[in-house]
Amino acid sequence: MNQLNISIGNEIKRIRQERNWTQAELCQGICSQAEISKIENGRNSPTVDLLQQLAERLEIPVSFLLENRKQQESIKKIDHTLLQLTREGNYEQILSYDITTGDRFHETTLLLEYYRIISEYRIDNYDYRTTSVQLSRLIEHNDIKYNYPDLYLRAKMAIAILYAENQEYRQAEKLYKELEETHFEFSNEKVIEQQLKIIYNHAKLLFKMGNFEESLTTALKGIHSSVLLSNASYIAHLYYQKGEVLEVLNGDGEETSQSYVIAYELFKAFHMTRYANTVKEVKRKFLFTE
Amino acid sequence: MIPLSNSIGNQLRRIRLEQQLTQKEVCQNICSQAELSKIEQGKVSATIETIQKIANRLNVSMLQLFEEDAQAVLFQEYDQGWTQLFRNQKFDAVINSVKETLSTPININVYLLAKYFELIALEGKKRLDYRSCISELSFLADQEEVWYESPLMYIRIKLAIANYYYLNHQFVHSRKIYEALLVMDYNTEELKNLRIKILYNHAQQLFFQEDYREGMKVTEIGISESIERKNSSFLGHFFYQRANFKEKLEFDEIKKIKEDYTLSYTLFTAFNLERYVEIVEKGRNDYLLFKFL
Repeated sequence: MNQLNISIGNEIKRIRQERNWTQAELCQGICSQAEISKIENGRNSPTVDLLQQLAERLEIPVSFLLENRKQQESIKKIDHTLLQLTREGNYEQILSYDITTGDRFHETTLLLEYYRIISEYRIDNYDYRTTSVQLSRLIEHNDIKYNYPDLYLRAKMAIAILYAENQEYRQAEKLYKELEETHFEFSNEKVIEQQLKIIYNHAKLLFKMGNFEESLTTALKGIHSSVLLSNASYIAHLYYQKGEVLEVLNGDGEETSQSYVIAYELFKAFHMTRYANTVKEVKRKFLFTE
Repeated sequence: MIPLSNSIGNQLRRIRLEQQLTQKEVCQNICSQAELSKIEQGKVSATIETIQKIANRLNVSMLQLFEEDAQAVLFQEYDQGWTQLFRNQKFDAVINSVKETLSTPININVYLLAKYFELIALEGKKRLDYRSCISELSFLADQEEVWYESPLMYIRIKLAIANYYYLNHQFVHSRKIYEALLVMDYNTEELKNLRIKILYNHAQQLFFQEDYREGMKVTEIGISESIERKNSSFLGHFFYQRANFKEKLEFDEIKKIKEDYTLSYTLFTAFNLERYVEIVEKGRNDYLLFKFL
């Protein structure tokens, strides 16, 4: 059965039940009850017109039925848990992670696969070449670029990070450049966040390579994009990076301090305490306030 | 209701031509060429499954097709154009341009936008007093399909109404609208971001109504939602606002007030909002824990 049909069917059923409607009440004057039953079960694919009529009766935009908010929530939760486990270095638990919701969405499966590959690498089951091949395969085989652009960017970025960790700086840099130039006709907050993260990681890599001028340009580009998009996901990181470059280039100038202060205050404002504390420890002499 | 099959058909055709593909190349193993031709013209309503297969072949996402991207771009163009004219107080130009647009086929979003600008431009010219403008705007928003077909326009119109009340010191009315807006469902990213703006306006209104306690609560919600969403649009303003409320409530920890003003000052600086940086520097210089050059 087609994944999308199942997901649309689930969502229609969920919203209908939320409102305490019977199938008959939902489909009256639109289609037969047998038809709505098959659609809810994911066995029939509704036509665009039929879907539009159902959405209108449910008083929701058609796109809600395609997005499947319950699925999005469930994925967000799983992602959050796995990210937490990754940060704690708890890779064994990721490998044995089982979804308790019972929902087997395509996107969830892909996300789990992504975490699985990374974890195998971290516990040395895979060498870095195998890992990067596996990640590439995940991206190519599943056509994820257009359906799940944020996951696409994450998997590609993971490959770039692998290169960098294994001193293949030029390869990593090439990949970051390619990713920064990747254009999506369709964008959302999740995609924007990954795009900003890519710019930040790129600036960090350039700094590590000793390419300070370009690292500065890249960090400034990231700050500029964050400002344009009013997205604060990485702006504090980017100011910190700007500080690091300026420290090397100009020493203890006013502008260096200013960048660190902004980074520190932004980390505080967004409750990213761990980062704020790191800045405080490492760059104490630049912060003219406590 | 404009059939979605039309707009999807149009988009599929546009994207196919952009990629210089023939109908034959696109429909292979999916449907017949005659079928694809009819889908593109909006003459038949294809199943979601078929649309998905075509979308995959063209490398576009389903959501993009259904969100009527092309129409969204058109909406943005109108919005920017009219906003610009309105800000420069060129009310006649707004009214004329709106009239012209309303005589062409447009979707509900653009229709609502056009009517909205027509009304606020008439109010701007003082050809319509603010009370009549409010009742016309309410009439526009309260048609039953507006809330779910165009939630963004619905909220925008309601915010304009609240704004008129508030500018005319009718705080009670304006407060009611904000409160009603805030209990609604905010399902999409766009709406969740808009909610932050509503919270900010509401807190401002409470400040002028001198209900500092409630205003403080709303500001705290605004801060925590901004942080959670990593949305910086109003965070600097919220910290400034919180410091204002603390002053009015005679909060005795002066250090906390200073911290709030300094945070707002830092955020305005980080996000290049020079006008606001100046405002804090001029108005609250003594409160700043440090200054940037």
